[in-house]
Order: sequence, then structure tokens, then C-alpha cells
Amino acid sequence: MNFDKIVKQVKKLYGVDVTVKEDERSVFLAGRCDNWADVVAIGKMFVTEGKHVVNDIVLNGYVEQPERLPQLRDNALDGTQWDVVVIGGGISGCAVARELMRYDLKVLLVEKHSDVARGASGANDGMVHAGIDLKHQCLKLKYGVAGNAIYGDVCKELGVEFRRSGQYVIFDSRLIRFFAKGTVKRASKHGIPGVRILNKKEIAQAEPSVKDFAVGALYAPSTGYVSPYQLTIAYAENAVQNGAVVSLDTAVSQMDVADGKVARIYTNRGSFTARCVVNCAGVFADKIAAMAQDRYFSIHPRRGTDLILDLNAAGVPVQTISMGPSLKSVNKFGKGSTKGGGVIRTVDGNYLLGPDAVEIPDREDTSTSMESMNNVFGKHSGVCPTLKRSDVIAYFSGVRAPTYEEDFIIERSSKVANLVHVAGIQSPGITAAPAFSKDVAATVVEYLRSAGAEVRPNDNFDPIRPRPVKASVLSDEERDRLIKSDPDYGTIICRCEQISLGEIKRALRNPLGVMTVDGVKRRVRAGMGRCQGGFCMPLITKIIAEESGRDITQVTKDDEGSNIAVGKIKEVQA
Amino acid sequence: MEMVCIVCPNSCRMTVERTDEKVTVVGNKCKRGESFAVNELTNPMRSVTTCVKTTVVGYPVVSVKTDGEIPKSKIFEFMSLCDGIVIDKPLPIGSVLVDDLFGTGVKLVTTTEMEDTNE
Amino acid sequence: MKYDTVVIGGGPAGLAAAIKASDSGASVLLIEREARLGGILKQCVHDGFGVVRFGEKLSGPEYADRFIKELKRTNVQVSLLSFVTRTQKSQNGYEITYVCRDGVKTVDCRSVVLATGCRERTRNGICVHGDRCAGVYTAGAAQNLVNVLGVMPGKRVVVLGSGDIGLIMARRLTLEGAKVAGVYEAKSVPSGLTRNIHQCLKDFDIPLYLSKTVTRVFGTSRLERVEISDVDEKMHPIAGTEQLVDCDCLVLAVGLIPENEIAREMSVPLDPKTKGAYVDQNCQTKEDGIYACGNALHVNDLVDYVSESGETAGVHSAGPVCKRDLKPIKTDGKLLYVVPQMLDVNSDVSKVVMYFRASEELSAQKLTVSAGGQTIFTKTYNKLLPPEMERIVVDFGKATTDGITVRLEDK
Repeated sequence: MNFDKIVKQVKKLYGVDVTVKEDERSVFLAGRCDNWADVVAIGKMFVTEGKHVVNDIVLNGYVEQPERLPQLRDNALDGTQWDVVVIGGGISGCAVARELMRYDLKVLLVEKHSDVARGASGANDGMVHAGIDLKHQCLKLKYGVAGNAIYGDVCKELGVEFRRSGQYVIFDSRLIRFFAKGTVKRASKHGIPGVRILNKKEIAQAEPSVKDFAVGALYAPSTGYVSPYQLTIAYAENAVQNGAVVSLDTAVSQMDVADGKVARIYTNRGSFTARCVVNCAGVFADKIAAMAQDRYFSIHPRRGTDLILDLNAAGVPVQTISMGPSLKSVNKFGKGSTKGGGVIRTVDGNYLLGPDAVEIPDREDTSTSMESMNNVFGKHSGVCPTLKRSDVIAYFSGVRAPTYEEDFIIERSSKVANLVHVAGIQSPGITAAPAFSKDVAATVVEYLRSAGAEVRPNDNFDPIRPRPVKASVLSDEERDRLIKSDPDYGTIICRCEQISLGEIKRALRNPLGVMTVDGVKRRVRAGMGRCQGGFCMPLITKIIAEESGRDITQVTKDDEGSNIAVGKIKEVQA
Repeated sequence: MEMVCIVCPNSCRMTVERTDEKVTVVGNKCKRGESFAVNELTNPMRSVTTCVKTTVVGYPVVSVKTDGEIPKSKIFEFMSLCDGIVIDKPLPIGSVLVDDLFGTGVKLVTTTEMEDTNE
Repeated sequence: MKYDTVVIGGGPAGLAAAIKASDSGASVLLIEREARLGGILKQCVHDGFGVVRFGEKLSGPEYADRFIKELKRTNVQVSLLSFVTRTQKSQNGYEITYVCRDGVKTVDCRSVVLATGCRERTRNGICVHGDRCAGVYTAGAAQNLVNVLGVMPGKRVVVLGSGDIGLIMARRLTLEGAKVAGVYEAKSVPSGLTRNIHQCLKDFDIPLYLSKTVTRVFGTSRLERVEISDVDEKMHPIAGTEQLVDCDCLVLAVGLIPENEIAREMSVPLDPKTKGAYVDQNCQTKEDGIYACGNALHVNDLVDYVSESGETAGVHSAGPVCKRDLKPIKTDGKLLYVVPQMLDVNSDVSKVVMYFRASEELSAQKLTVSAGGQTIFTKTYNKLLPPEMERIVVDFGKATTDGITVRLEDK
């Protein structure tokens, strides 16, 4: 294809000289640029049907942040041989590992952090999308709709709470006629169930907080909510229950490629072989592809910030609501890459406001900023006019991993025979994972069989991961019985979320062997309440020391090196 | 000179003047302010509170204090001394750990009632 | 089980309430979350407690111990490691459900004393942005690490907030060998007692920086540095004034908030200024039979006053529930708040203890309490500081009790 016209346009718009190369899969861009947003914008200009963009335009003056790698060095995995190695412990990797366990396979999942769900899978709003915003056929739509349909069953199997309480897109003008009607028609075509338009009276009834300005709403009943990190953890735990090995603090540093296959994988815990490799490396998926000499797409990190609202704030909505196009905003509609958002009622009963979408060069920069907080508030608070800035009690950021084509890449490599990519997974990745993980497992098995391996079903596969006990939601009688069976369930450690010692001890005996303060937090929500761990963090640190047999000074918040304490008193010198 | 009395939370702001052998104090609400000011000019003294280690279950450390004032200049020496103390059995509150700190007659005592429990 | 009074919380307020309720003839159950009584005093190993009450400088554990020993003398039932999960109205009062290591228990009582203390504001509450690394702790958490668990939260420390707990932690960490790079305060005046500025900071050459705050934290695994910015008079950071300070620990001493989840559950009206319940002079909330005291009522700076309000709540909770006639106490002028916010004219109004804080640093002030258009109490103050709570005792005895107003104005 001739890119001259676009190259000229880039020069005109951004003053950047782009060199373009092309092969059968991708368009490769090179050049130098002064602004990261421009680098991304230029990359997008070269997106063409059927080709991927590899964007090597360099940001002037930017020193790429070194990847955060575990310091641990051992030989735990050295010389091992696996049927399948999954790289990355986010929702994709964990779901794929679990689905692979339906077969009699030796599966290893490696994750560089000390727990799973540490990337975008652990820092998003947990919305299980209906798919109403996706306009055209694409993998996002295909797997999003398919994933949504099976969500209830998957969460039931994995013992994870899921609530299908729908979403409402609020309209305050006659634009509802154009936008909402089109969406309803499209949803029906795409097989999204139950999408319909609510009139003024109906929306006022469903969501009284908008009655003063809503003329109607678009209602998608199939939208649901899940704790994204608890689902990821549940997938990983069920994989381990069924025989998979999850190796944490394990980062892939290098690969040998021979005869068009990944021959050997090198990590900080030794090197090993795999008959098939699945790349679920999130924001590093393109780096892993490059290690396998299979670089044909680029990930451009995009950060999103969500704000957590005070449950007691005045006028917070009952439902998940967002603002549809209005006469005031219609000119801006369609700009930016985050769809929807708004006030989201999470499965834990919290209210989130967000997210935003900021292109950033550093793949691991999950820091929050005043600017993002202001942006998110400005962007989404319109749907809830009584909301005040002081109603924001906490906030977090995650980094999405989109490709320039903005669709998932879920396929076996056409260059490296034993490599399967699960890349570009961004929203609605949480929604889609239950569906695409099944296809990925099938692709892997198909390949292994085609390569001469005999792959039998795993007759002992148990899809059920027991649901962790949550004592605070039990009836008094049930709770009393539980405490009588184990008094630790009667000792409350996290007072804000009412989490007992029993629940924390159980969380510490998790199949992944994660024994960190944040690991406990992700599993049972201890420390997520209004005091944000001020009261329970020291206690949980002590409990972890006791349960793990480690010295209290060795207990970490999260990854290695994040020790809560720097030493015993009397033994520390500044 | 201006001085703040630290004897009690009243934090009296005092004006202290030293003429030859005499010290005059203005602004103190009670007598303790005057003696504090005099001491502060000649030999500043402080009570110190800290913790010492224990081997008793449920008490990684236990709180202690000087039951009177020790010279301010000796505070870090005092801390080093505390570093070396390890309590090996449950002690009632007020137990004396060191009889005479730096020849002042001031004692080091525990300030927590240690219960003999297995938590 | 049935009790006259159930006290929730075994810190200084709850201990005092339970003792006084029992001494007044009530059968009392004291419910405490932790394994030991004393509340936050257990970790406050520094001295200065009890000067008003005992005329002595006690450490926190010693102050608590006096009450714990006193409690042992009474018939108060104590349930440790017990956590209230539900409070609801019953026929003759309230039904309280709690969990403990023996199971789920439900007790009935005529009155409830809320002595649940307060919690600390967190980094989110003050918008410290940046990375999510280890080493950022509230002062209370840091104090627990050092004084209860015996471990150091950091070697090179920045303290944000010059309230007493911030100052005390700066000294405590210095004594244990850490280097405190500085105490930073967003206000233009220090928040803590002047005495603590001297004995905690000046004695140890710890610098105090005013009108500056921490705006960002950096660190991959543990904290590596913080960004400090100057703030304007509205305490908003000023762009361009950022400077980086290396440290591995940030201690946040940025304020306390009364803990009132139970009050909220019971729909007890809360005062947005104190963030505690509205109470009358007997510490009874707007709900008959529910009392609030200590830091759950409003954040105190002296534990002596925490105990005092606990005792008031305790004594009155022991009596029968009487029909009250509540008159509002209005505030006027430069007052941050006044507690109590109501006067029950059906009970004794002759020795009403009132606490107040000024809304800003003020000098030459006159406080006037008036009722029915008549001035019934005045007091002048040379200096008033918001961090320093003031206490007065007012006799409403002969006055008409309509239109009660507390006013603070220039002398």
C-alpha cells in the first residue's frame, strides 16, 4: 500500500518525518517525535484493514523506564519441560491456564509479580460489558458478547460474586432519538439481549437521582459486575487445583527460537522448554513477541484512573449510570478512547467514578495524579450533579494494553509455530476472557495434536473452586455455627470491612502461596474500607509473620522489596 | 530569652532573664515553670519514654519510662542502655528494670501491665 | 442477656463510662474489639496523659491502667475480642448483636454508650498522589509498628502534619535510630501543642516546615522519595515550588475523624462540624438511650476530657430514660464548633460542661453564652488556637433556656 499521503499528512500535522516499512502482516513506523500523544496519534493514522502497526517512533528525550523485574534468582524451574507455558498472570493468562487444565497437560504459568492480577486485571472497574458500544464486528465484540453470556456460570463455578444489574445510559435531550434507537437496533443485530429505551417515567423510577434532567435512557440489562482481581485469582487457583503450576516472581528475560519455534525460555528462576507458549503478557505482550522474533504489533500503554466515592455521599445513584451524548457534548462525542464510564456500582457495593484514558510511554506507571483525578471528576460527575470533590475517598490507576488497531489479537503466530498470542487485551477483556480462554485452549490443543502430541482430556478436571467464606454476610445462626467450628471467624481484624482472622488465615493458605498484605487485601478486602488499613495493616503484618513462619520484618506489602518494616527497633541505624 | 515550658500541656510561653546569679521568669502559670526555666539554663533535664524488647508471648516490646528526669545530654546513652534490655517474664506495671540511671537516682520502670496470657 | 447499659469500646472513654455507669447502679456490659482494654492508649507510650485529672504526667498505658484497675473493682462484664455487628431498637431499648470467639451473641439493654473512638485520615483523604509503594503509613499505624510490634517503619522519615501525634512520632522514630528529614505542615502555624514542638522537635534538631505539603510519592517497591510543594493560604499546592526529599517512610498525621458507623446504622443525627453525634449536656444523642462520648463524639486533644465525657455518658446512661425537652445551642462568630449542641432543660442545667474550638487562630476574644436574650456566661481569652480545645462550665440555672447562643467575638 502507498502511505505517501499519510506520511505527508503527518509531516503537516505533527512536523514529524515518518519512515514506513511494510511486510505481509504489519506496517513498521520509525521517526522521532517530541510528544507522546503525537507518537500514538501518528501510529493510529497508519491503521489499515488487515494489517497491524508496529510503531517505533521515538519520543525525543524519553528514557525508557527499565522494566520492573524481580530480584529473586534461583533455579526452581531450571531444566523443566512443559507442554504449555503461559506468560503473564492477568485475567487472560489465568483463564487460559485454567481452560488448559481441561486437558491432560503439564502447564506452567509464569508471572513476574508476587501475585496474579497485578496489572490492568487488578485495576479496573470490574464492569462485565453488554457490548452496546461496539459498532462493528471485531474480536472484542465476538468474545465480549460470548463472555457476557456465560459469566454467571463461570463465576458460579469459580466461587466469585457476580451481579447482573444492568447499566443505564442517560439522555438529557432529544438526541436520544438518534443515538439510543441506533444502539438498540445494533444490539439486536449483535445478539445483545434485552437492550431497550426507557422513557422519562421509567428511568425516573429506576434511577431517581436523574429524574430532574433525564428525558430517557438506554438500558442494557445484561451488563454485570465482578471483582476483576478476585476472578483472576479464582481462575489461577482453579488452574492450580487441577494441576497447573503457577510460578510467581518469575520474569521471562529471553527466548531461544529455532526452526520456527520457541525452543527455550529463560527466566530469573532458570530456563525451560515448552511445546507451546501462550503470550498473555499484557502491556509487555509486544516485548514477549519480540523475544520470540515475532514482532508484528505494538502495545501503547493507556492509563485509566477510577475514583472511589464515599458510600454516604449525597445523591449517589442506585444504579450504574453514564451520560449519553447530550446537546452540550455532542461535538466531542466519539473522541477519546474510553467508552462509557460514569458512576459504576461495583460488586462490593462501592461506587466508582471513571475512568479516563491517558496515553503514557511508561508501561508500568500506575501512579495517580491530581490532573487525572480532576479530569475524571470533570468528565463523569455530570451524571450526578450533587457529587462533590470531597466525596472522593480513594482512587487508583491501571494501564491498559491496546494495540494500534484497538482490537484483541488472539491467534497462533503465522511465523513461530508454537506461539499463541493473546495480546491487545483491554476493555472488555474482563468480560471476554471466559470466552476467549476456551478458544485459546482449543487452539493450543489443536496445535499440539497437529505437531504429533497425544492430548487427552483431563478426566479429573474439577471446574469448581470453593467460594471463600465471607462471615459478615452469613445469618447469625450460620455465623455462630462457623465460629463454633473455628473461633478465628469470631475475631474481627479489619473492622471497616468486618473481615475475621479466620478469613485472613484462609486467604493466606491460598493455592498460589501468596502471603503479602496486599494479597490478603485482594482476596478478602481487608484494609479496603474507610480507614484504608490504618488499623488492620500492622495486625495483618503480624498474622502473616505467624502464619508464614517468617520474621515480621520480612513481610511485604506486595512484590519483593516492599517490606512493611525495615528492621526491628533497636537494630536500625539511619 | 523566650522559652516554652514543657512540664505540662499548658505550654506556658515564658520570658526568662538571667542577671548574674539570678534568674527571673515571667509568663509561667505555676511554680513548675520557674524551676523548669532555671534547670533549662543550667542543666536541662528530660523524662524519656520508650520500649524495651521482651521474649514474653504477645509482647514483642513493652513500654517503659524514666520515673524522673535524666540529663538531656544523656538521652541517646539512655536509649543504648535500653537497647540491651530484654524482659523474659510477664511483669506488673511499674516494675523497676534499672535502679539508678546515671547516678541521678532515677529508675527505669515499665508502664504496661503485662498479662500472662497465651494469645 | 439483659443489661442496663452496654458500652461499645474499651478505650479511655468507654472505660470511664462503664465504671461510672456501674457506680451509678447500672448493670453494664463493656464490649471491646481487641484482646486488651485501653484502646489507642496502649500504643501511646509517651507521657503527658492525666495532667488535668491526676496532676501527673502518665504514659498512655499507665493512664489506661488506672481505669482498668478501677474497672476490675466494679461488676462490669467485659467481653474482649468482641465486635458489634448490629444494633437495633427493641421493645424496651436496644438489641445489640456482636461476634466473639464463642460465637454470635445478642444482648438487650436500656441504653447504649458509643465510645468507638476515631480513625485517621488517610493519604487518599488529603490527595497524596503517586505510586503505591510500601512505607506510607498513618501515624497511628506507624506508632503501632514501633510500640506494639517493635519494628521500624523506615530509616529516613518524612512526617506530614504537625499535630501532636506527628510530633510525637517524629521524636519516637528519632529515639529509635531513624533520621527524620522534617515535619511538614500545610498550615502556616503548627497544629500541635507548643510544648511538643519544643520537646519533640527542637530537642532533637528536627526541622519543622510550615506552609508546605507532600504532593506526590515515588517508589517502586518501598518509598524512595516524596515531592514537597509550597501551599497558598487556601492550602492548595503552588505549581513550580516542587522539591524532592529522599526518604523511605512517610508518616501521615493529617487528622482524626470520629468513628460513627454504629451511630449511622442507628440513624443517630451527626453534626457535620464535629463529625460526631449531636448530644445534650448528658452526652445523650438525639435518639433516646443512645449516648456518645470521647473521640467518637468529637476529637479531643487531652485524654482527660475524653474520660470526662465518658463519665458523663456513663452516669446518665445508668438512669431511667426520661422524657427530654431539648433546646438547640446555636453558635455564632468565630467558632469551629461547640459540644454539646443541645440542652435538655428537663434535667440538671446548673453545671453544663461545654467544649469549643475557635475556627482560626485568634487573640483578644470574648466568649459569651446567652439564653433568652440574657448573657449568662462570659470569658475572655488572650489567645485561641483551633487545635487547642477549650472547656467551660456554664450554669443555666435561672435563665430562660430558649434561644441559647454561644458567641465568640473580638474583645
